[in-house]
Amino acid sequence: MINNLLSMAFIVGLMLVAVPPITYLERKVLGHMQQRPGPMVVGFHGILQPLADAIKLIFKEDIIPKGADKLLFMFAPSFSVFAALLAASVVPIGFIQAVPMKSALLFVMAMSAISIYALILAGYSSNDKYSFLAGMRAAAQVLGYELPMGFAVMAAVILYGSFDFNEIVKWQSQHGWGIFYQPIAFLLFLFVMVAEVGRPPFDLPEGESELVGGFHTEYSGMRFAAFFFGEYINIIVLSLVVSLLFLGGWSGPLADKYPALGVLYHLGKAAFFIFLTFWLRATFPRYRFDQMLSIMWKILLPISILNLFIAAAEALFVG
Amino acid sequence: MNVVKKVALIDLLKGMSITLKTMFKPTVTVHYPFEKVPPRERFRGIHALKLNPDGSYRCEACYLCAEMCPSNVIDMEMTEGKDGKKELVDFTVDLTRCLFCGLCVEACPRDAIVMTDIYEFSQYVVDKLILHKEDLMELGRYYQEWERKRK
Repeated sequence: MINNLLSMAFIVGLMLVAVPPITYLERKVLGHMQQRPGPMVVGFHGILQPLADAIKLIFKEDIIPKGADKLLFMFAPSFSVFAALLAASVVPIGFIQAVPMKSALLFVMAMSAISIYALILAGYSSNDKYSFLAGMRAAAQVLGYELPMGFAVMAAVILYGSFDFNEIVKWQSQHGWGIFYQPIAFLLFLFVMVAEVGRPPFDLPEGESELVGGFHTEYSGMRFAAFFFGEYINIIVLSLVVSLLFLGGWSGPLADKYPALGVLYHLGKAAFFIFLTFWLRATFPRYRFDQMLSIMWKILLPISILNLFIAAAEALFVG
Repeated sequence: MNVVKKVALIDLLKGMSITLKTMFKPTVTVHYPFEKVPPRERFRGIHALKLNPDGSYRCEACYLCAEMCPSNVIDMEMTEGKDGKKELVDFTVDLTRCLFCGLCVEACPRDAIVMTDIYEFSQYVVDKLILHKEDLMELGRYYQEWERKRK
C-alpha cells in the first residue's frame, strides 16, 4: 500500500516535473534542426527558459470570452491534465508500479482517447468559430485513429496473450523484443501515437495557419498552459507505453539483478520516442484534413486488420 | 518502384535524415543585441553634417539637398552673416519620413551632408527623431572619426 502510494507520488511527480525540461529540449532540438540555437538568453544556454515561461503564464490575465460556456471553459484544460495523469498512473516504470492493473493497457488506451474530450469541450465552450472547428476536427480525428490504434495494440496483445504490462515485458524478456515480431504493428502504433497526442504532422486541431490557434485560441495564462501539460504528459505516457509494448520495456542486460537499471532502460527507450516526436515536428508539414482521414481510414485501418492475421499466426507458432 | 518507395517510407526517412544532419551543423544565428554584424562600407544610415578642419560649417545652405529629397525630410534656416555670406541657423532632418535613399548626399556640392553607418536610432519620443543642427554636427564628428579610421 505504502509502496503504491510512493510509486504514485513518483510517477505524478515525474510527469509534472518532466514537462518543463521537455518543452525546453523540444525548443532546443527544433531550433538546431533549423540551424538556430533555440532559447539562449535566460540562464546558461537558456536553461531557465521554462521557468521564465511559467512565471509569465502564471501572471498573465485569465480571460474568459463573452458568451463562453463558463463552466466547461474552465473545466476543459484541467480535463486534459487529469486524463493524461490517469493514464500515467497505471503505466509501470520498471519496479515502480503505482496501480497494478490486469488490463492496464486498455485503461491507458481509454484514458488517452478520453483526453480528446478536452479539445472538444474547449472548442465547444469558447464561443469562437475557429475553436469550434478545431473541436470538430479533433472529434473526426479521434474516429480516424482510434481504430488503427486498437487493431495495432490488439495484434501485440494477441502475441503476448495479456493486457498486463508486467506479463508483456516478461514475454518479451523470454522471446525477444516485440518489434522483431510485429514491425508493422510498431510502425502503425507510432503513426497513430503521433496523431493521438496531436503532434505534427497530425496536429490538425491546432492548425494555426487555418484556425488561428485551434482549440486554445481563446485561452490564456495557466489554462492555456494546462493544455500543454496534458499534451506533454500524454507524449511521455505513450512513449513509455510504446517502449513497453515493442521494445521490451525495462528488460535488458543486468536488469533482473538491479531493478533501478531497468527503470533507466525504460526511461531511456521512452526518451528516444519523445525525441522522435520533436524530430517529426521539425521535419514534416501538417497533413491536410482529408489527407489525414484518408491515410487513417484507407491505409492504416486495412493494414492493421491484415496485421491481426499475421499476429494470430505468430501467436500460434511462438505462443 | 513508386509503390515500393511509398511502402518503405523512403521519402519520409530522407527528410528525417536531413533534419538530423542539420541538427549537428553549427548554428547561423547572430545574437543581435549582444553581437552585431558591422554594416557594409557604403551602408546608408542616419545623416550627419561634416565640418571643415577649422570647425566652420561645410554646408552653405544652397537647399539642393532639400530640393532633391523625395519625401521632404530636410529643412533649413539661414540668415545673412556678418561678411555677407549665407549662414546656417538650423538644419533639420526628419527621420520619421526619411527613406534613406541617399539622394541628398549625391546632390550636395560641398560634400557636407553624409550618411553614417548608424542604424539603431529608435526613440521613445517622436520629437527626438527630428535631428537638429547640433545633433548633426555631433554625428559629423563621429563620421569623420570613422572615415579616418577607414583610411
